[in-house]
Amino acid sequence: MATIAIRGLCKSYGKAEVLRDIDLTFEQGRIYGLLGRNGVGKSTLLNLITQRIFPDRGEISVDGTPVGGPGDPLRKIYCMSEVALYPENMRVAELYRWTADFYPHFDRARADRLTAAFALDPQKRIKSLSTGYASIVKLIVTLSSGAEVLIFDEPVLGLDAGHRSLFYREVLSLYGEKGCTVVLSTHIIEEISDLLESVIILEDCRVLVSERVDQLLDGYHCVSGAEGEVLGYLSGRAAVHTERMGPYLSATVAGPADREQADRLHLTLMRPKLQDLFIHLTQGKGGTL
Amino acid sequence: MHLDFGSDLPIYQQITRSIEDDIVLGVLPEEGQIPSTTEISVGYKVNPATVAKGYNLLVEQGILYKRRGVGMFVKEGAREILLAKRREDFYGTYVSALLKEAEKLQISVDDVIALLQRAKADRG
Repeated sequence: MATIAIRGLCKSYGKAEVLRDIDLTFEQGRIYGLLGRNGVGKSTLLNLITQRIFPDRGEISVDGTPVGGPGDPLRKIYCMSEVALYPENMRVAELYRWTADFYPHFDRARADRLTAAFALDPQKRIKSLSTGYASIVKLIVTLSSGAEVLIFDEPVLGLDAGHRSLFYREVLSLYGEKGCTVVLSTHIIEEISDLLESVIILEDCRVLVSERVDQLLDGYHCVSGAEGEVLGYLSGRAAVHTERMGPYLSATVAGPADREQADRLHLTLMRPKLQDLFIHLTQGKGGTL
Repeated sequence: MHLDFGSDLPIYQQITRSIEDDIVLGVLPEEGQIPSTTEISVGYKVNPATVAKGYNLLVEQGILYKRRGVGMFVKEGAREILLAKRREDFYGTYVSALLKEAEKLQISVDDVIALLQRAKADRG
């Protein structure tokens, strides 16, 4: 039951504007991807939501209550951040006990099961964990927090392929059980593109995309073939990216595909991949032509 | 069941196609239970809404039905429905594609017929 509504959010660091008039809603019970180039302000946005920093303007509310407001709405959210915020001398098992004090729905059984599944030693001190295991302890706490909104900021930093796979499965398993809201802020896009229901892309201080993944991908298509033919197809259409390889040209095009025309011109039609589309939409448009 | 993440077909269509294939082959028997949306979701790491979309499509087509509190089952008669549908689609899916490829290779329709007759003879 936790919807996060963000209205008119603005944040600058000195003269550097990071976020401008951000309007976003995280609907309850959906899995969101929060994407953006390095330094675009993803972590800033998440820190604003969890009140680790404060906005210059704008409002953030959880189920209609402003984040600083009565009823402690922030308790509905658990955010795993990139930064190391746990006391470094604390042991993993102690960390679970402490978290349970702040989050009454903390699921210790799940935390213990995940600790074993990830082969983490619960007696280890936070400071002695490798990069990968530092991420793992954070994501275990988040998954076990019992919060209605789980936010993961770069959750798989340093995780090997097996652990990444395990993490995604555990997120989906928990989501299947509880229907919580999940926000995954990450650079590893292609691995999670099928997990996501919706995607939010930040670019140039603003929200560039806030849409269901299938709808976003339906709005574009890829064509490739002989350069002359592709150029013919592109006439009257908006290409967000082109790539030339010898006599071939491939392009990512906005709008629905014209299968007949593509067949006539011997062009191959394909659906765009989320990661590729993300790259094309967040860099200079037009490509190498 | 098999999902090909490199494929161009949307995941939910791959799911429906996979289930249909398995029903036609008899891997999923009528009145048998199929994996839950959560099982498929976790197993293939795809959003459960995507799986549900595929399942709901099959329910609409009379291939699957839901038993409340238990799960999704293959409906009686599903295999016949699928066989009929695939027979109807056979021309468009396979025959047209065959002739299109033959045309690309400058193989005439008569040559294709000769090849089919050879295949018939080979099969005895």
